[in-house]
Amino acid sequence: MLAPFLIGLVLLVLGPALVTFALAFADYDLIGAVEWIGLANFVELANSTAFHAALSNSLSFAAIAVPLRLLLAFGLALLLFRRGPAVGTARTAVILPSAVPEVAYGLLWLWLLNPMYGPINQILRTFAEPDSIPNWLTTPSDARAGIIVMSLFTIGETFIVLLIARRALPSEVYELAAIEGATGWYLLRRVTLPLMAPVLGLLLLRDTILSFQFSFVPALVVTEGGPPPYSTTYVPLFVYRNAFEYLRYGYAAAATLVMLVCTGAAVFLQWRLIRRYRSRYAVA
Amino acid sequence: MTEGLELVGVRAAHGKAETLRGIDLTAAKGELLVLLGPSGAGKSTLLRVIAGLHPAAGGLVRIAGRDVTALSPGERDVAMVFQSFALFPHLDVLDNIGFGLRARGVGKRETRERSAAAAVVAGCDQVLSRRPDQLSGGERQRVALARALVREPALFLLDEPLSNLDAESRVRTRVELRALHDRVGATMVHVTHDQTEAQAIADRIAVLHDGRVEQVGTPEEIWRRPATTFVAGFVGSPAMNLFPGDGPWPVGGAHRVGVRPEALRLVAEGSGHPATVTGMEVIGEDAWVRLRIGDHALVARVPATDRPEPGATLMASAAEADLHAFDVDGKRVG
Repeated sequence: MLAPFLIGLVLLVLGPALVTFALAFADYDLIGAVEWIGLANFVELANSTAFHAALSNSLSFAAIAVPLRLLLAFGLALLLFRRGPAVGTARTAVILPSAVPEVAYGLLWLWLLNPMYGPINQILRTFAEPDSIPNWLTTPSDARAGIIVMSLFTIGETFIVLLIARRALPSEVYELAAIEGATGWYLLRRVTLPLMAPVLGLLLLRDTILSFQFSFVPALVVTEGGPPPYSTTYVPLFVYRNAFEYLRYGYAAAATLVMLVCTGAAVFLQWRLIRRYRSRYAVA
Repeated sequence: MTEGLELVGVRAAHGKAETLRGIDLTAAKGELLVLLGPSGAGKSTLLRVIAGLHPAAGGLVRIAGRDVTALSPGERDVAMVFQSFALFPHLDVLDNIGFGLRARGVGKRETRERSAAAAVVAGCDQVLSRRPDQLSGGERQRVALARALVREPALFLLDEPLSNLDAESRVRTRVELRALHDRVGATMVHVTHDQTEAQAIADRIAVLHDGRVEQVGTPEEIWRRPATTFVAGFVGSPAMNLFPGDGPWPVGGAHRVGVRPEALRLVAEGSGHPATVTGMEVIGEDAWVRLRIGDHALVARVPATDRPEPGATLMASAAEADLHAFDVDGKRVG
């Protein structure tokens, strides 16, 4: 019964993972033979300005985009968890961008973010100072901001989970809180947040792991890793280029391993933090 | 104007269905009023309307002389104990009790002191540092009570607080609840579907049925002189026997006549109606004997030691003073 899944797991996940691990210590371009070079790839990565840029880009993207996405999804979930007029439409609007294929989504933003002809800047030009309007695709910091803005709309999955989690909270606790005079901000801080803390923690972990992945298509399609030299080259794009454009599989594999270690470290740190607070916010 | 609770013409609806059809009710200051009725009668709805959790479609709610009909729950000076206790799972017992005080800006030290004092009164001061998931049902209930007590509100609302306890705890806890009420002197409105519980603890009982008040009175009044056939049939275990006006015990002008199972006398020979025993349940010192008189089925309650043989025919009689007469609208006559 389990056989097809096990075969799939081995062939599609474990196998390639082992191959990648091995290739990280080799030099391979698909044409010649595999040449074992020990830690040379890692040494090169340590000295590569391109990789430094990619790593710092990925880390700062995760540090900014992940909390913002979670905050946005949380806020929207708290606004839209009750049924009401137009709530269904609003929920659909929040989820829809996540349902769009990534490349199509990227191409859409390529048009939206065009500094000259894109609708965003056209609208901004009607009321803002010309100098303050971001040059989305042509200035390094604005390009990075653009990628972050793009990621703020694909919060559909996180939003759905938070919606369900909020609806699952016991309504009598909230009625009790109303009788005890806890409303608004106090209610959010002292009741909703602690009760939803486990789910929020889980989603934070998940989004951190995924943040490496969902930076890939936007960087590839919208900014192509630019503006030069490496403004929006994130680690996945770095790996992709080195592997499939420069045919440096070993080098790319080494970069992948570094990415894995970073993700693992981030997840571990968050997990420790969550465990420390779980005892405070344990839900019966 | 009373210092307790006053309800004038209170109406409520759930969607299009009318769930409260004009409730007029008062509770004196310091009284324990029980709202008794079957599920769907509207008692929980009424409690929630008093608390402000459900909007009143019409009428007035006055608490301690103040018209609170338009006020939010937090402004009404009420405290509520829910059936599920609704304790905050992420707070320990002391913080649970003090939640309302902190929410209203009371300082940490004062909150701690008052919470500890309320815990002593409610009987949960031994578990102050535990969390709700580490407490038994009875302990959780005491914490919920302490939380209600600590703010010293004008009115306490209890929504079937004993329903989530096992049968043994229920009896013990209802005694504690009544004792707590007497000690604190609070005005309490207690909702239950259990008529034994209601009779045991209430100062007065309001019997609700289908969104209306059928009768308000002391437990004794409700028992001795039920005002409607519904109250007659609902209060009493086993339920009162109800016959047509021209049945075995006729009363002139009555549409229906009621006789409590306890009031029936069964003798082997003598005056009365011939009744055949069709079944029996022996519960401790009681025997519930099911009988037939002609076309009528009835239940009698006799001491277990006097119980008849199954299938026997006995003479069943009832004293005139034990007959309850009701007119065609179900209202008491005489």
